[in-house]
This record gives sequence, C-alpha cells and structure tokens, in this order.
Amino acid sequence: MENAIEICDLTKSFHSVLTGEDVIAVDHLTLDIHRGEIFGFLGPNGAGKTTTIKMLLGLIFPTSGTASILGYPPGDIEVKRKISYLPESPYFYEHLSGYEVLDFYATLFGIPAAERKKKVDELLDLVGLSDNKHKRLRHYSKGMLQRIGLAQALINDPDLLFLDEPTSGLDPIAHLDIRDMILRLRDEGRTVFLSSHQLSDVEMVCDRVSILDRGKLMRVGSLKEMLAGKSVEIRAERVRDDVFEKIKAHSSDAFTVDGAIRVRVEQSFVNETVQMIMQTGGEITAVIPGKRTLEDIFIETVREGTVS
Amino acid sequence: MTAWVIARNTFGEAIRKKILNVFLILALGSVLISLTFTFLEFRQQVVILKSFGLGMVQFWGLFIAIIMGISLIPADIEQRTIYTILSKPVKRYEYVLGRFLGGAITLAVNVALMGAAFLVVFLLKVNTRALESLASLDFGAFWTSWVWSGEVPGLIGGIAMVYMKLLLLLAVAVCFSTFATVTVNFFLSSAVFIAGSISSVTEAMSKSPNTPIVLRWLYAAVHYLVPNFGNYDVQNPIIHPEVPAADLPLYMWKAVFYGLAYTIILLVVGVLVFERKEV
Repeated sequence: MENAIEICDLTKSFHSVLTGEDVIAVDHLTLDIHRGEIFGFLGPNGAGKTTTIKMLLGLIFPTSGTASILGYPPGDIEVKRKISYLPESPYFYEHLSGYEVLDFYATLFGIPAAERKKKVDELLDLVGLSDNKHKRLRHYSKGMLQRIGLAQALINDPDLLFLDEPTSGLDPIAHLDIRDMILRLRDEGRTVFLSSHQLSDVEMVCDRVSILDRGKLMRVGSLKEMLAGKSVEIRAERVRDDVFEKIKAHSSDAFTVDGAIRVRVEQSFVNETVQMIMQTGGEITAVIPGKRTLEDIFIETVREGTVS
Repeated sequence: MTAWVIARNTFGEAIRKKILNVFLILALGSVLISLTFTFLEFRQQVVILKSFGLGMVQFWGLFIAIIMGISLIPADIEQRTIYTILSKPVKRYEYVLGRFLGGAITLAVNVALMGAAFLVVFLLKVNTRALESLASLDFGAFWTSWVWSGEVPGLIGGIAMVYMKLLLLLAVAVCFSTFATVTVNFFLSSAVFIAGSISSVTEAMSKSPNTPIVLRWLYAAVHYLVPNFGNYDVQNPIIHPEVPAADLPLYMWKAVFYGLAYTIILLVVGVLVFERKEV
C-alpha cells in the first residue's frame, strides 16, 4: 500500500540552557502511515506527539532522520497545498469574524474570490456556524473555535489532515459531529493523522494506531489486531473436579458459579480444554473470545515502558 | 501576493489594537494643545507650533512603531496562530515581509492622521491670522501669514522624513523579533534607536585620540552598523526656512534611499534568521 507519510529514524532533541543537557523529545521514530487510513497517534503528555507533527509540517526541524509527506519533504510549498493542520486549542486572529478568517485562509491558498465565497459558506454550514459567521472570533466559545479550526483545515480539500486533539473541549453533540466528520473524511479517501487523548474516539474511528512514550515508538499496528484478546473465557457445566483442577493449572482466572465453571485460558490451550471437558462428560455452554479496550493497551504499554 | 494577503490582515489587526489607538488619540490631542500657545508673540507661536507639531508626530510615532514592531511576529508565535499560517502554502519570507508591510501601512496611516491634524492646526492658525490682518488692512502681516501657508509642502516633507525614520525603526524591531523575545527586543530596538540618533557623537568618539582604542573600535562599529536615525532630523531647515541651507530636497531623497536600503538589509537578515527559526 502506498504511504502518505514515511518517517525514518526521526529524532528531535532540544538543548536545555538550564541543565546544559540535550533533552530527546522524539527518539529514532520510524513509522509509515498508509494512504486513506485514519491513523491514531497516541501517547501520554510529553510523549513527543506534537513535536513529531511539527516536524512533519516543517514548523521545527529534526535533529536527525528523514520524513516524507505525500512524497515531498516536510515544509515543501507543494505539499502544503495538499495537507492541513488543526492544532490543539487553536488560536486565530480574534479581530476577524468566522467568515473572514476562513476567507483569509482560503486566500492564502490562492482560491479565486467567487469560489472562495462558495467554499467558505459551505464549510461554515458543514461545521454548523452559518448563523454565527459574522460574529468576531473573540466572542466564539471554545467549541465554536474548534469548529472553525476544523473548517480551516478543510478549506483546501486536503489529501492529508493532521488533527491534534480535535475533540478537545467540545460538548457531547459537537464531539459526535466531529467524530462523524473524521469518518466521512476517510470515506472520501483522505488520510487522517489523528493525535488524541480521547481513546474512545480513537478506538471508534482509527484503522491503525501507534503509541509513543517519552519519544520512543512503543507499539504500532492494526487496531483490530491490537484489540483482539489473547485469552478466551470458557464456560461449562458438569465438569469433574479433577478435570477442573487440571484446567486451573493452565488458567489465569478460574472459578465456579452454581456448579458451573468459568475459566480464562490462553488461545493455544482452548481446543485442549474443550476436548478435556467434553471427553469427561462435561458440557460447554459458552466460548467467549476475550476483548481488550484501547485504554487497557495504552496503559499496559506506557506502564511497560515506565518499568523498562 | 501571499505577502500582501498577510499585510492586509496585519493592518486590519493593528488598527483594532487598543494600545495603538490610545497613542494615536494622545498624539492628536497633543497637536491640538499647540493651539493654546497664544501667550507668545505670533511669529514665535508659528515656530513653536511647527516644532511642537513635528515633534509630537515623531514622539507618538516612535511608540507606535516600536510597540507594533516588537510584537508583530512574536504575538503570532505566542498565540500559536503561526501554526495555521506556516502550514499553509506560505513561504517564511512571505510571512515576514507580509507582517512588515502590514506594520508599514499601519504606521503610514497613523503618521498621515497625525500629520494631517498638525497641518490643519497649522493652517488654521496662520490663515486666521491672515484673515484678521486683511480685515485690519495690515498687508505686511497678511503677506507674512500667506508666506507661512506656503510652507505646507516643506512640512509635508518633514512629516515624510519622520515616517522614514519610524519605518527604519519598525524594520529594526521586526528584524530583532525574529530571534529576541518581546521584552529583550524592546530594549534592543530602543538602544539601536538611541545609538542611531547620536550617530554624529559615536562618529566623533570613534575618531577622538582621547578615546581608548577598544572604545574607539566599539564606537566605530556602532557608528557604521547602526542605522543613522539622525539623517531624518530635518526640522531645523523646515522650521526656519528663512535660514539658508544646503539643497534640502536632494538631502531628503538621499535619506529616503538610505532608509530603504537599510530597511531591505534588515528584512533580509530577519528573513534569514526566521528561515531557520523553530516555531
């Protein structure tokens, strides 16, 4: 699959004047983001997510390593026509109205006046700000600013969007709207690079995710595969005591409820357990694949990183 | 084109800044105050009016230029507005140029307003006197007053010189703002302005045998590196046109070209620094 972003051994360190030491914000990051996917970029605060995004946008420069965005180097003027960025808690020129700020950004793309007007009106409608389009941004609520932020990120019909905490500070309805919008962007064939702490959102919309911790890439992969459990819960009745004891030896979690047993075993031991129960007169009532949440994986990954 | 879009936006932003508007109102008020100098002999009143008016345009213009210049780029970085601008197809030099141009237009509008207020006050003063003289058939006084009216082009030239001086200061502040914080820049730009305003002193000190050699080098460096703001102090021949002076228009044109050349150099330095700046 063709990649929208290719990051190779990217490192960024900052020199601390106070301590005289170099602080590594991003540590030899290697990562590919496929075209047309929603990629979740996760990590605790200070993990290096925003630093990475800023390097990819050409706002700051890597200490070492390379990156390619849609085949161009970061910061290239041609690639800037095809990408967009919604920063975390975006600030815009407050003296402008919602309409004016979008018109300003559209002008930076050289969009002709007539097309610009149509485009701006469409986007204001899309983000639900048509009724407030002549209001100055200084009078906008946080949610409204976030919506304007998303609208400005769509002004150039980008192939690739960098969204940094796009749902931060939004009420539940607006939250849902933005989530739907991100899914719609993928359906339109765009690539979304989504950095967020809202793990439930990421779990719902992303195709693949990566977890960054203290600048290092800890995990990357398909969300579906990550969430698939490695253990399986088996429920059975009429299981002999000696068989239960044998199963318990291979189980992480085993107990009885009203004479029925519930055991959690590794995927590799499922067939053997089922056969053992059935051959000794027991009856299997349920085999439930274990499912983990992204939150479980996130916490586990970050804790593993902390311990190591 | 992109720089012009940023310049237009910068101008729109600047004219809504309260602090700059306060300076403008204070400047207009100061110019109007000069109408009250009626306790002096009339010729003195006119001389004081010209001197005070040009002085006020420069004094308040300095505040506007420096306050605006030091914050044009850092404000965008601090408020993170720059992220959404530089991630668009905007080259860094276009951004710096756009911010500077926007500042230059704002400065031009402010100086024009202050200058216009000063000229209106000046014409009001001398023409009232001319009418009074005519009414009392004092043709001598009428002639003098009429001649004073003819000084307006000279005064406009004086205001233009003030603008060039402020434009140069704006370029200094914008150049420094690509690497210095707002506070540091305020002191740096002010220091450059002061050093550049006493260029004749630094030149004399750099050549004086009584100055220690190291200080002579230092004075020479300051004299040659810092733009000479003293070039634009043309008030004396404008206020006293009766005193013979060298070819003033030629001198003013030279000063304009000097200022534009220095402004371009400062902007090139600012752009080169900003190209590698992490935002």
